[in-house]
Amino acid sequence: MWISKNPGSDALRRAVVGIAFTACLFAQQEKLASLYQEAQQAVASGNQGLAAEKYEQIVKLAPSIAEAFANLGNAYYSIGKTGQAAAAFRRAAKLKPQLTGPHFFLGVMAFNEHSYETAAKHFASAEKLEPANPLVRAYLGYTDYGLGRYDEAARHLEVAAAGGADPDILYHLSKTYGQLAKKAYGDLHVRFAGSLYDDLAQAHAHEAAHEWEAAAESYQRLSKRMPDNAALRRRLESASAKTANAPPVDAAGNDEIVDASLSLLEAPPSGEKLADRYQELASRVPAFSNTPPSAEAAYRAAETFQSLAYLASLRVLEEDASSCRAHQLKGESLEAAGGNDEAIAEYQKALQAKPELPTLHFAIANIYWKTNRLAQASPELRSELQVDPNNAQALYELGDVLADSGNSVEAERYFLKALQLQPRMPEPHLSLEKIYSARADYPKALQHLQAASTLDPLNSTPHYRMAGIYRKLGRAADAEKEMALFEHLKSAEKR
Amino acid sequence: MVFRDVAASAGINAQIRCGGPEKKWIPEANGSGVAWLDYDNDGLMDLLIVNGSSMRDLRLIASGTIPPAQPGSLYLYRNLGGGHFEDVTLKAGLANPYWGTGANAADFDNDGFTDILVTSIGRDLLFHNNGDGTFTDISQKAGLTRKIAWHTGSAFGDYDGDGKLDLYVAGYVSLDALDLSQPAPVCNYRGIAGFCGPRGMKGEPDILYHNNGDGTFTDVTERAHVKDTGLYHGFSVVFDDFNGDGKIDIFVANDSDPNYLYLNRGDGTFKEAGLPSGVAVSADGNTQANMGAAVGDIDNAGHVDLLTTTFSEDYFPLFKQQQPGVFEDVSGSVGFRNATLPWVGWACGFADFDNDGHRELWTANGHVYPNAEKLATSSYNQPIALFSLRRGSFDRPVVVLDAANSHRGGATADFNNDGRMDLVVLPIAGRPVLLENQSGSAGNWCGFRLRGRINNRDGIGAKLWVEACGSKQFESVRSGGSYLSRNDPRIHFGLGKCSAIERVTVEWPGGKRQIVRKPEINRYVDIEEPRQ
Repeated sequence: MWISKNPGSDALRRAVVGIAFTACLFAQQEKLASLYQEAQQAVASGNQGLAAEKYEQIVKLAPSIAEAFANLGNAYYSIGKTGQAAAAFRRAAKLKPQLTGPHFFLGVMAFNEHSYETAAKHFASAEKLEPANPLVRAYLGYTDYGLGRYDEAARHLEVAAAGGADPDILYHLSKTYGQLAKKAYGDLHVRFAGSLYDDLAQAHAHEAAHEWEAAAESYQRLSKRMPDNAALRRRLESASAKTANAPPVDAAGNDEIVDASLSLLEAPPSGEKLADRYQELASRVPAFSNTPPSAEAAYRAAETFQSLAYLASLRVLEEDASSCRAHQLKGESLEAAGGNDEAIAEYQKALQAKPELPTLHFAIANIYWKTNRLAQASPELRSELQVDPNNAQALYELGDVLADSGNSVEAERYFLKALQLQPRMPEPHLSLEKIYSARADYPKALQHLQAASTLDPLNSTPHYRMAGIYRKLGRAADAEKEMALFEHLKSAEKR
Repeated sequence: MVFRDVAASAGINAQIRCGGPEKKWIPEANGSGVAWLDYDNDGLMDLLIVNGSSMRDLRLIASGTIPPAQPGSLYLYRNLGGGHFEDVTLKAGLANPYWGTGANAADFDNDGFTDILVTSIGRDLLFHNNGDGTFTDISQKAGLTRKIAWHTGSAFGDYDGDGKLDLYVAGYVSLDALDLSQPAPVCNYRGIAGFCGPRGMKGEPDILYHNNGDGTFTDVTERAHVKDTGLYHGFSVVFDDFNGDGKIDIFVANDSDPNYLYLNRGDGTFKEAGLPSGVAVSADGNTQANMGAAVGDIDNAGHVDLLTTTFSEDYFPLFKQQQPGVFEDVSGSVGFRNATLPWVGWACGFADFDNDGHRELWTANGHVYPNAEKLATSSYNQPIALFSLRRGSFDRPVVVLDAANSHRGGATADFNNDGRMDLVVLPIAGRPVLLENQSGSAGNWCGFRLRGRINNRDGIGAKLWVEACGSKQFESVRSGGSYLSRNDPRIHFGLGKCSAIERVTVEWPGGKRQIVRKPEINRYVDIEEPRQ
């Protein structure tokens, strides 16, 4: 997920809770009040370390005051002592479950470690206490996104966005609707493959990705199916004009197909119109919660999600075109259209605006990676890991860069760390197998291939690799068995 | 290493064509090949260039009408020495009415003169060398198939040990899969529009011909158990001993399909063993778009290794022979994997260009889509590159020729007999490049031309070991490989600073061994097979 590790000083200030020492003895009350005042002064002057010391003294004297533990947790959290912060928050939550702050921050800490299931539980507890708290709803949205629960994510993020147009929240809304659109287009393709709406969706996807030749070809095919459709003719003309190999335009007519997402791209709304259009489309979303009964309904759902994704990104730009999220969105759009170096420039601007934001270095690294500039990918991956040491994908990719340059010892360390964080990732297992096979440590190599095969049972690669190892070990029968499995899975892939 | 394009001054002025510039149909994208041969036995390598054709003529060919051969359908350049060639195509009586694809040459009838095979989209042509500078098309008389089909790579080898060269011809795409009467269908590759295929198109079967010894061949594909059951899209073929058992095997590089490795059982039949041998697919078990094939001993380990050139966004797999007949794709562990990702590779080979005793790998590259620039990671024009393997790892590639064209077929030869291996490479369209190796610091070398007397005259299938200054190098006389092309048939070894060879061991097909002691270096030496 793509939020700063720290929810922001405002959130922390709001989380600091007042303490009453009524249950204590008078002399102790005086001492506690004095310490509390000193702690508050330390917080006000930004000295959270000193505040932590004062709250430590308070909780020693009054170990049953939940608010003191909550404030201690805040102080530790803000100076990066997350272990102590978590312990303090847990104690606070146990002493007084009706305090929102401890649940919220326990959620944030779990979220930062990519432990989304745990984070979701803590945020759900916070939501029960403060259902309208936009920060809690935003984090619930981010967490659901991390868990792939995009419907729920959109619901929470919409509530959070209603509390104020925060670029972070709008950015995530855009990403969430993008995922919903992707899923809806996928469903359309699976359930109604070859339908007119499926072809239309593919044509739109090519156009949105600036794949003009493929788009023109798709519209050409569609025009043959609907020779009288004027909207298709327009789309074909538009896509053809942008490609050197323009196919001839041979369609004309009157009927129209509504292609909402593309017409938005051509004439983006702004100001009130943008807000109204967004609200109008968002109001349709609940109707898409059921499985669409027809290709047209599936197509409409996908188009609506796609439009909402685009409009949310427009809202980010309208809110603050120089914000980190605005640059990030521009970068993503450029990258999707093949403008890799321009995208890198935008990601770098985003980094200037918010150097601690996770995934920006990773986005840059990915471009270097896919364009085979591994020497440049490596420092970006390392920078990403400084911002977010728990990014398992970055750990894996850095391991892969290192393995490719022959540094198998360091690569192994990164692969193992990635697996520690994301035990369900099959890729590091496959990479570790290569390292161990190169060292002729075949038992370990086989162990990782078995793990990769268990995690991804339809992947034929582990079986091919196992067959190779068994052959080296002279275990012909095992080799044959694995090769048979490999061939079986390969033929299934073809089908 | 220094190479200079001397094609123009040498008189190599062929104009290569392969359909139109837009590459709307797959036949327009694949290019053609070359063959180095000494057709007049003067000790100098002559050059055969096979050319493509036009879509207009291809439509006629596919419909069964044979168009007249166009000028430039084939080029035979006689090597005059002194760095000059003469176009003797007409004088030699060579022409091809079909769409030429592959070039090959061998003395198939053991008469002492090298014959020519041209594979085609149409019919394959076998030209018998008359021994007087002319050739006669004997394809029909020799029994080559009369079916109009798309054939690509070919290789000669004596699979049954009868002393006569048999022939394997690869088939690519069935012409039935191309409806040339309709507008070209458009397919999407990573967001760019391009021609369709070969995936999704029915393949054309490969053929194994047995040499009957009377100037004719018989199709023994089924009998020899090499039936192309998968109808894979075959490109490059190599006859060599891939498992060191003394019998010549067949490797076929298949485009977008698993490669075949037919292991010779020694009873006139083969067993397909691509997968268990580890050469059918990549290290991860993925099918690749295999175009060219380089075969040779890349690390002086005493047996052949194998590399195929593949598509962009994929890597060229280097299959190292780890145990007899067991190969492993080691591209990742030799630091080679990522270097080739942007390229679509075609012609390739292992040769010792700097004569230091270690072979380099060369690849000629070029994309199939003229709009490949729109891909983030590739381009239409791509370089000819060279890689050196040092201490188990490949160095960064040396660009031999910048990305001035999109390259296809090509082959190595020492055309000026100076001991430094040169290169000829064809573009998809335009002039070939003849890259003369002008490296100043090249080491000593030795070269051998084998002459079979009981076995086939070309010595195909023979193995050589050169022992010099404490090191031992290995090479075999093979046919096929690169991409639709034939390398200089002589065997070349770099010797570095070593100034004398202790001995050369030749193992002729069938296992007979011959020792040549202290042959001269820095020259080509003929080795004749003993009659006994």
